[in-house]
Amino acid sequence: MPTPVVSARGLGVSFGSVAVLVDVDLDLPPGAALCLTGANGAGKSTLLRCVTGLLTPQAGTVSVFGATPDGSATFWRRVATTVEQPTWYLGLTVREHVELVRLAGGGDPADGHVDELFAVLGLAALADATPDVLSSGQRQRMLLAAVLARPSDLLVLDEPEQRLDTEIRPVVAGLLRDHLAGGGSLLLASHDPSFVAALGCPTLRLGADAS
Amino acid sequence: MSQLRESPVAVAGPPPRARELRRWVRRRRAAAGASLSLETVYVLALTVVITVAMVGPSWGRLLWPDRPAPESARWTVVALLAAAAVGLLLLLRRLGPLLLRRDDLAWLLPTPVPRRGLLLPALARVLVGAAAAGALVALGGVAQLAERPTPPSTFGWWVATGAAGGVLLALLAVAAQRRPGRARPLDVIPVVALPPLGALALVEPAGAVPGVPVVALGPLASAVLAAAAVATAVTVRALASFPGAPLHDPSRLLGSHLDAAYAAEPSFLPDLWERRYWRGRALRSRPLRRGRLPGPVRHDLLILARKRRRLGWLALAAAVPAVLVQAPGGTLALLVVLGGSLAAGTTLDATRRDAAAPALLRLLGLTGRRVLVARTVAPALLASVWCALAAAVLAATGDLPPGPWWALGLALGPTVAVMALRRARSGLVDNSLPLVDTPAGSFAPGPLIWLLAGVDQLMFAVPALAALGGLLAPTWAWVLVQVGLSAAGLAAWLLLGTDRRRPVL
Repeated sequence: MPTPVVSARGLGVSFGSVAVLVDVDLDLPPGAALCLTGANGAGKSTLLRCVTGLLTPQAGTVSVFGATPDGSATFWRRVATTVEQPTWYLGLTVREHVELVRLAGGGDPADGHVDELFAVLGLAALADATPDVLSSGQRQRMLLAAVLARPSDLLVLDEPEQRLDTEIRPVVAGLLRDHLAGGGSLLLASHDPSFVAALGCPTLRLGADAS
Repeated sequence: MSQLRESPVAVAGPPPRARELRRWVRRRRAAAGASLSLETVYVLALTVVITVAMVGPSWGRLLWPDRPAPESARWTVVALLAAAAVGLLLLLRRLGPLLLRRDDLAWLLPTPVPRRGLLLPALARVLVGAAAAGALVALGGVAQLAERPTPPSTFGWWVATGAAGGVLLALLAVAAQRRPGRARPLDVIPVVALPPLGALALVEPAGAVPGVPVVALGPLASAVLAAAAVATAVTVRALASFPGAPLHDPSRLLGSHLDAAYAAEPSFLPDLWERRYWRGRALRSRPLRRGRLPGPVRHDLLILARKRRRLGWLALAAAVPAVLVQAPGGTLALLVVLGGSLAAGTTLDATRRDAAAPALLRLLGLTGRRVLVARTVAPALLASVWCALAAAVLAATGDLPPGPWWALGLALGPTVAVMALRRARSGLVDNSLPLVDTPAGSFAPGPLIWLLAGVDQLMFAVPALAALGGLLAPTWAWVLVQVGLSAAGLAAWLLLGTDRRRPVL
């Protein structure tokens, strides 16, 4: 059996007296997808933060590509995430942000990939805007474009369908399926059953009502 | 049937006056507790006393010298006076100048309260401030141009003219605030006037400055005072129909600055200024191409290209140390360091933002060191060029000993850039530090430490600072020492002060 891309054993996280994650196990094989579901506060984002090394669990272990997520640049070259809402660079347009991410990831910003992403995500008309004037849904599209503009072995997405209108959700699901078809892995959290169904991936329910 | 006894569309009567509403609010606030503690008043008073005691005598001698400026320097004085007036107009335009407290803006502006009463205190504050500034400029002029001993009447007429001139400038700015669309020609004045005034101050043309006969001073001052009085009356009358929209932005800006002062948290002001700079600017994406330069360097170069106008102002500001060459010892060095640091700061917003929240750096997948090496290029270039330019102008026009001043400025640049970068990375003020007890009372060291962040880098600038401080004349050997120290400081910071593994600044 191949080494899982993400593996968690006996994971536990508490904030004060509130136990958010209790004894959670998960495995994500290479090239596969897994969707975390559960009510608000069930610990979906907390688990994603543990996987990306942004939060150290109080109990249990997490490994990503066989090692503890250490937040090094090497780690972040293989993992791309939307767990955090980034601040944007003032004075750069939407398109320049995405091109910068592609360039830093070793890609060629002029090879047409960014154009394709902007076309399918409906960002073409917003290319010259600055991120601060975008609506929350447009900003979510931009963030997804940035994440998908660079190569990554593992995508960790926190509710990628959030704030998107119903027309664009299947498009995003299609882009994520493309990522999987290319050999990448995907760990996400979602509240939208139809979005998860469009991805066709297994789910892991977190929280008190988890079965 | 309505659930309320009063109809929601009922008009109760004429609205109360703003003065009555303010008094109402003041009374309730006073009942809730004093807003200014005695301790705060004491600390403020102590700060003023210490500052005056420290810099008062030397700056006093500079402002009111024993003798007027020599004949050769009088055009410089005239140019500086004109530049000060233009600067005052620029400042007033930047401030608003009419602005309300944020609570008045939110609760009183959108009500039927008569607008004139609401804005009259704001106008009075602006006029008093502008009159004081105008009087101060005029006082500077008299101090440099009038013969000694100066008759009290001459002194009084000039100061009155200056104050009235300040009022006229403020009223001009208020009129421009009222109709921003028509104010564009006014905003061109600084752009057109400051470069030739700066050149006039530096070149010191020969020839006497035409003076104003003493007998003409009274009528001149009276005319300016009368003009100011009439313009004030017209403006007060027109306040009743002053639009609300132009009040929002300056009022919120002032509120943010007061927040920063109240919370002793100035660290978010640079970001605020930067956001204001970019707001409303239409950008056009420029394609990034693969090449030798790392992404962050290209990003900085793009920002530089988009801040061309600011670069022009910075180039102009390189003449400021030369204009103030007579300032007390140490001021020149301070000015060069401050100017270089300002120049370096042109592209530092990205560093500030990445230091505060590295999420975008993680998306880029670059180590802190790689990013900072790249982010150092543009600031080092800017600071070096600015310091070299300032030192060259200083050497060409000031009374400095001969030497390779421009090269010394060039060598100083990287150290000033590292100082600016370290300041940009310094983040929020640490208000969790324990209070420090002094004989004059205890104070929180967080803001002071924040203010001094990166300043220790100047230990790598000793040769240049010593030369600019007038302690010695620079030679090429001295420049080489400065080059070595700057290189050592830069390398030490990049090796020891940056993260070589994680995308963290």
